[in-house]
Amino acid sequence: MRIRLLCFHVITVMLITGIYAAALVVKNNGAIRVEFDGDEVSDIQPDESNGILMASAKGICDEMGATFYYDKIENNIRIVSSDTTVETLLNENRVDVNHGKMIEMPAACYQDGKEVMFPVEFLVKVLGGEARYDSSSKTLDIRYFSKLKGNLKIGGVNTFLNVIQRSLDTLKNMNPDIDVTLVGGGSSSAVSGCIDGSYDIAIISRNLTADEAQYNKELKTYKTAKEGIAVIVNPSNNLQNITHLDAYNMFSGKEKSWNKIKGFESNGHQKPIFVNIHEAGSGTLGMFFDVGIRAFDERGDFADTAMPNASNGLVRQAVAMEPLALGIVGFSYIDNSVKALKINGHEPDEESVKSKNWPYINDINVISRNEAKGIVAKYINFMHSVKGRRIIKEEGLINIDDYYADERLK
Amino acid sequence: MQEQLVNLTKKEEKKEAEIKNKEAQKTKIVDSFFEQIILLAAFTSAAIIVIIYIFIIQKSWHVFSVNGFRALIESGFDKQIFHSFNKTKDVDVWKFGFLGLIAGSFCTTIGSLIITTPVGIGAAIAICELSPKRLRSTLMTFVRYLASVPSVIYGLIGLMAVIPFIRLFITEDLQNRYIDRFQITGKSMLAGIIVLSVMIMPLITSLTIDALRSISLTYKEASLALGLSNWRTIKRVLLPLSKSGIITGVILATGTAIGEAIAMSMVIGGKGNIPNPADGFVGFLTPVLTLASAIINKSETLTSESTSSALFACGVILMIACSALSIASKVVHHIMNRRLNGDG
Repeated sequence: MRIRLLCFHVITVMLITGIYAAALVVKNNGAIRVEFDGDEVSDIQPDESNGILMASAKGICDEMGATFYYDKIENNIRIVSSDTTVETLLNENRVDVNHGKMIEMPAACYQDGKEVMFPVEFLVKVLGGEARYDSSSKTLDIRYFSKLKGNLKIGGVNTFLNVIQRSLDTLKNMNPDIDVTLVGGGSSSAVSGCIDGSYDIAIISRNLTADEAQYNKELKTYKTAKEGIAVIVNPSNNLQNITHLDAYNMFSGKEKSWNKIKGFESNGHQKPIFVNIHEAGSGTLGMFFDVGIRAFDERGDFADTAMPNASNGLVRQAVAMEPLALGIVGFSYIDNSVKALKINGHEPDEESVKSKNWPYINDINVISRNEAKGIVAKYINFMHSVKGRRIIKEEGLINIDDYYADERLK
Repeated sequence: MQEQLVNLTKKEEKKEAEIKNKEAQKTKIVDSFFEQIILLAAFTSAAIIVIIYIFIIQKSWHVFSVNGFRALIESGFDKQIFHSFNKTKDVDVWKFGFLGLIAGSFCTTIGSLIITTPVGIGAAIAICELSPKRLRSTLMTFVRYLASVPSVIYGLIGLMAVIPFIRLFITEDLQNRYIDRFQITGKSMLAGIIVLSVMIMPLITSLTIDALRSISLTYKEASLALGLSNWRTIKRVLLPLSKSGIITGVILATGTAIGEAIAMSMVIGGKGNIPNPADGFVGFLTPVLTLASAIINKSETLTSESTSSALFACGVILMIACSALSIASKVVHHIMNRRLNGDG
């Protein structure tokens, strides 16, 4: 009896191990493992044909922080990263790198369903990375962000500081040798630091002003992320939804009383609107001026009574303290102390920005002296890569690659 | 034998004298060397002032040359600097008017001086003459310590205590009545005056204390011996004698008040309104902007040519005001001393 039980157990154990081993073998046989900077990734799934690994170009680009664009009508393909542009036609076996340098591909690119397939090792090399395929263990090892050297000095705008810090931490973990410094502050101090050479790059929450661009032709802008800007009121305010026009009327001082705004329930008393804005020089304010004021009236201006505040945090604090206040802050600054209004019925969240229904969207740009190359280019690409996008999303901002990719291709 | 000894001692004395001479020469050289260095340092610091003046005037020249005298009598700095930074077609980017800022600086400074001067002098008299002797040095230490509190702490206290306190007296009706011109939120000239008063009071008090203590005791004793009461002695003898010290203190306090930036920009609202005397007390609730806090608040716009020039122009006005004040304090000191000596 006992022997029979023992036999049964032994057989069961053997069976389970056998199945597991078989599964492993099958898995190894079926697909090629891809390691990107030491982490296994699933969005690059190469197939071997005639000894050349082919994989979806979109997946490779996503991992490496490049933007992939395939124009079905013109039949051309563009891959843009901060330091490399690759152009070719479908089913062509040559690519044009950085406008002018023609390079032969080991195999032509082709369409497979929705995906456009490229020779993996070739594409990674063209974009500046290293790829090594070990056919015995069926592992493709790609190195791009983990081969960095040198030092990087960044002046960053406070809104974006968490994102920059986290991305630098990630890069630093992969490359213990690099030396990075990050200084926070306003957009303008970052730009002036970039101009005089104290920073390699400036990360700012606006576009370069006409003056900055005109006097410093060497500055290059790389669009990186978007920030939604919300209209906020005190939590005691019972208004829920305003129209885009209401916002214009209130911020420009045309309506000075809450009672005239549709949806506001008053108890009979006149309630004045206390407009809070940012100080001159703020990216948020400049954007709001263009989209929220000048779009309605070419000579329009903010209300004469609008009180300037030095930062998003101070605007929030002013609105939280004053029951009659109205203000603008970035989405990531919304918390329980203030209430963000719906605009034209759209919630102030990522979805509205993605669906392009949100009117107030601010650009976050990386500014570099001269064309980005080396570690600067790698850093910008990292912000566009899968890992960088995740950080941007988690910090309440919106990466441009999924919804505004066309802006990077320009 | 004796002669030899005498010779020997003479020789030794000679040697010693030579050594001393050499040492003296050495110390002389070293001394003169350090004297030169100190002189150089003195010249450098004088040169730095001149260089600062040249630098900021050169930076702001364009604003003054475009606007001329109008820069001082026109207002609207907030909007001008915003539009100049976010250049659009229809804006004259070099047009700036500093009247709002000058008015803000002037009103807060004068307001705080009106409060501080009597209170500060009174406090000094109380500490020096009226308080029990054991308490004097303790009180003095506290007053001096008050002067060394960083200004940003005063700003924080103003933001968290003074403004909510002012808010207690603001009614919705009042807010409604003035919404066409400014917001009444508590961030105002009044808050600025209160914070500034607390900041400059220790300056006036401690300088008055110094002046009072430097008066020779004989004056006081003579006055008391003549039968004047304690109060009359203070009023008729001690205060006139310490006048020059008190006035110097007030002038220095004025300089500090005009130049104060951080604490001010936290409480005054940051809007370049000109307070209207017709508003009566409500005029004190106007949000204002001072020259110094304008430089802090608008420093984000320093990257643009015209706006940075405008901010440097604020600096020039401030520098001129402060230099004039320090020259005035010297002149007052001089005049007072001469008058006193002439009388004596």
